[in-house]
Amino acid sequence: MRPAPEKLFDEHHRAVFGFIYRLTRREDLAEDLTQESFLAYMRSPERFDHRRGSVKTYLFAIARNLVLKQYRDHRAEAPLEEDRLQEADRNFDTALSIAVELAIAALPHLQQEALILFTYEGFTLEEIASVTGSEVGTVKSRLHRARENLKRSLAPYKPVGEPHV
Amino acid sequence: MFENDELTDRELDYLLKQWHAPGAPEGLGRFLLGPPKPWYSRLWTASIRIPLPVAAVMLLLLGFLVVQLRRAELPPAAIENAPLGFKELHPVAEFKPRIIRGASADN
Repeated sequence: MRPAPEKLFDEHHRAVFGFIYRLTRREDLAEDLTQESFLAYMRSPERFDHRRGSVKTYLFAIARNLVLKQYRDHRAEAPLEEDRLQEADRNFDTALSIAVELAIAALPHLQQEALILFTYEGFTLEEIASVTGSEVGTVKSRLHRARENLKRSLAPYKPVGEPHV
Repeated sequence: MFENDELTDRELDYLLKQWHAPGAPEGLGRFLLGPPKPWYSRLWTASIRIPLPVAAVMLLLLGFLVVQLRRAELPPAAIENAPLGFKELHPVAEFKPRIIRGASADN
């Protein structure tokens, strides 16, 4: 049974918006692509096949495809790193947040999406595999490489003392 | 303040949590779903899912209650004088007609 669009939107729009925002780092784009993701589902709900995954992973797969299309069509429109670094200089409170944002943005795209889905959206490896159309082992490997890369690139921000996670 | 060694998993998790994404804008769904409706308008379209066995039991109980209530409402005489069916009707064994004269017939 397919869920009603209103219910689906209520339950998932924040997560889909967050996912797209973290991939594109632009609020206006995240807003547009979140709307497009739900619109795509509402136009052709019959395309969703519950045997291939949950409606959540189906929505995230739509969002992912829209982001990839955006990358292909408008590659130059991502926020400039210099602008973000200047913002970090102006505001010490957001400096660490921006440093993490830039370090993740520097990762290869497939590593980025695996890390964002796992770390920020709480997806399992199986769910990430369903969203990205990959094998679970491949996702695991991408996630591992992403974390190893970040351990190196974020080393200058190593917290002093034991962090409270 | 910071050291330049590679991070541990715990330290990396801590740093990753420092990146806060903005929340989704409030009016995001307006374009897709239209303006928000008052809560009471949902009363006309809301639905609940009931398992079939539960629904069947509830229907049976409802039917039983209706019959009981109707019986309680009828006076005992009404039950006794309830209309007869064809099964209760028998052919007359001996036909004895009685002529009842009205008061005006005596005149």
